[in-house]
Amino acid sequence: MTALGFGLGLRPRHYEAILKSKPRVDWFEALSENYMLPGGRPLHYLDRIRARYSVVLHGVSLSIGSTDPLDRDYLKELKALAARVEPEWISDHLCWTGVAGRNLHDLMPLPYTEEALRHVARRVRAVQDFLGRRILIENVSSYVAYRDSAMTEWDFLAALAREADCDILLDVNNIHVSAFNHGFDPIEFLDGIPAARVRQIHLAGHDHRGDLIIDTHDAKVIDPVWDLYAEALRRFGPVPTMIERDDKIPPLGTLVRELDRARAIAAETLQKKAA
Amino acid sequence: MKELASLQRAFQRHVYLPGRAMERAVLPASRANAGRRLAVYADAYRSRLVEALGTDYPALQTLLGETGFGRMMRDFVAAHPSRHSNLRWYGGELARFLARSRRSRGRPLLAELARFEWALGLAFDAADAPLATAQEVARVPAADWPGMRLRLHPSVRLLWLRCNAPHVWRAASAGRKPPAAAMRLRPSGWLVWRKGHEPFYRALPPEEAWALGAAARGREFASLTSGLRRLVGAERAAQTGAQLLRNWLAEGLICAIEPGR
Repeated sequence: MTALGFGLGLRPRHYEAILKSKPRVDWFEALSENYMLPGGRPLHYLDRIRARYSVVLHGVSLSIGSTDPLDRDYLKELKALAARVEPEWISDHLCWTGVAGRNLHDLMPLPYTEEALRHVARRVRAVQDFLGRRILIENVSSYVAYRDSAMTEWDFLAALAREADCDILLDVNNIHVSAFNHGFDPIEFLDGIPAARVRQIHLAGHDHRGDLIIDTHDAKVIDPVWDLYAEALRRFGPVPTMIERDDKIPPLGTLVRELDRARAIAAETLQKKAA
Repeated sequence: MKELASLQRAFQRHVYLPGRAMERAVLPASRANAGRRLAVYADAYRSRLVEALGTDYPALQTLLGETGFGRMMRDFVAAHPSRHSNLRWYGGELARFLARSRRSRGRPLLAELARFEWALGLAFDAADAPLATAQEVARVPAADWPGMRLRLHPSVRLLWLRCNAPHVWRAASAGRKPPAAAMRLRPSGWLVWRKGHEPFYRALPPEEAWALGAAARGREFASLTSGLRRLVGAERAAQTGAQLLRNWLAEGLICAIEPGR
């Protein structure tokens, strides 16, 4: 594994446990918006945890695919937070979150068209120029595919990384979810992603409702996703990996043990790869 | 960008007001038709915002019950598309909405409870500031007292409430049966602020509510004490002013003493 190793999403209910128990976690991913606040407890704990661990910032409101202008106020706040936290990197999603000045607070899928690709690439470059650093863009789970789409999601993401010179946060669960929902082969997705761009991996659980899988991030990682993770490691090598739980958050120890499984799979897979 | 823009506008319209128009833009699938797939987004929008409001207004949720709260919050969500990049600030308009909503007509407590809970939330993550100490005040020469101004901690909020919202809040938060809504003719002052990492609140006697309001408006100490003369009498005004200042310092309400000019 590269220097950063294995991480967890930083969640308020774990603040005290992290500081007291010093868990076997190499780094934490903080949700940027949760700390874009004037002050108080969240920033206090973020500072204390940052003093002991590496931290990366993960946002949900960049709305990189929106046809609204980039939100300069949001970017300024993000830059200020980055100056405080000094994160290893900053990531957000390949999506749009609203237009006409409104916010749906959801990761809305983009059509995979040349027009959208040029638009998103231009905006990623603008954001990177503003922040003075490369960002990571993450694939989202989706429930609709558009008639307009002219390429696959993975071709779009690979082309975006190339054209915007950005990196990729690969959510292996989201690949599994979208593969089921849209009937594509998740291995084909992995094969389409340029290895050199993959800087981080997310693992998570979801809710299978029979006809669709809903990406709830509220359950443990299932075996097919672990298998897909091993496939990802075979292709991308030792990529920093974390478990992202957004709801029904269990005690810290439960997540640390789940993360141990990622460590074990990575150790085994990468050993075989080296052999 | 034209096609992308019109697709996004159409999808957003669909999330706000689901209909059939957006289905044309979506690929048909053997499993789960376009309507079902689009509904995932429309449903998630409403439940996500209602859930966020539940986080901001837990006592209101307890008071109304899951169903009643959900119904009322869905009305709010329908009337208030979010314009915030951060979900943290979405619920700020709720009290104003409840004050004029049909569903809460005749229940002024609901809007006041929302105001109170929002103030607690604002105190929770208000800006940090170092606190002024009694020693700092002791160092101010007596001649400078009349002109000095008190800078209040950024978490300090002064609320004027006519209902028993804080009592209802306390009961609901502790899992006890809330008292019946009660309303006074005249509003009374309440202080909300943060001590350490936790929001606190307490009732303010009329003279303190007035003096704290004056301090918040940046009035000099001399004008605080002269205002107090009307409320507690000339002979007790100076002593009351000094006592209030001691209490405020001890409670962590003051973050700076600014010398008079």
